[in-house]
Amino acid sequence: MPDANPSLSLAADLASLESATEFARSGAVAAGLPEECWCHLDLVVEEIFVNVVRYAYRSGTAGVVELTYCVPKPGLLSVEIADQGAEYNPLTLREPNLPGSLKERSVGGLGVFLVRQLTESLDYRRDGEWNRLRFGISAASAASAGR
Amino acid sequence: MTVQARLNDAENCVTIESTQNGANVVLKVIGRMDAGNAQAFEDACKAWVSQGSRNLIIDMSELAYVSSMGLRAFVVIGKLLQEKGGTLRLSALTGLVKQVFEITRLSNAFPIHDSVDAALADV
Repeated sequence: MPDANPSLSLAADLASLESATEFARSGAVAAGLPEECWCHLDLVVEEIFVNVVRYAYRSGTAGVVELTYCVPKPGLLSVEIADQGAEYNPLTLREPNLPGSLKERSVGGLGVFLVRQLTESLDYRRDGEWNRLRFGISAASAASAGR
Repeated sequence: MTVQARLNDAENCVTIESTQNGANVVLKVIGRMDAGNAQAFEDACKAWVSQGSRNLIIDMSELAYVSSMGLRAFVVIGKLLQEKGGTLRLSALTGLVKQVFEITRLSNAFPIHDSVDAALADV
């Protein structure tokens, strides 16, 4: 029987963010991602994690965030970030307008956009009481984003 | 007159060094700007604006990381200065930070310069 994928359960609190990015980085090492794209991975994890902390558990109850990673093939890291908050599929968000004029720019709203740009794949599913957002990231997806 | 101030938030991996030179203020942001410390950067900029500064230049040569919360702070300060007839100028973007500004097209929304000296010459 194969070993279970590495996973980590954290409190849905900003204070846990560093633990979340450190865990994902251990996945980056396992996948053989070059160090140049570790900060891209940090960014994707932060954006998803912060969204969960801010919006998933609005009732004020203490929530959890579960991270799991696997390496589908060398050079590709797949990370799932799951929470038990209200059902929310960030993939339904419309692409933001990105006008070049500062006056016309909205404040905020770039997190999910960045996640989409920096990842090779991004999938959401509702699994019972869980929101499960899974992304794949590779050196190529990190380097080519926006180019 | 040159005034220097240094905000060192070691726990959150960011240092903000402010240098006032005449009417211009250069803020050097060192480290990582994330959800945990973007507000500290915003507050540091707002403090200068509230003292009457209208031209802020951000030295980003040693900023290695910025997330959407950091981008939000740049937009907030840029809009604030614009309302007051001032300008937020960015300089020396590198690596991930440069890429993130390009992806989000914020590189078109701010005057961006290769160096602090070039930004100062533009004021």
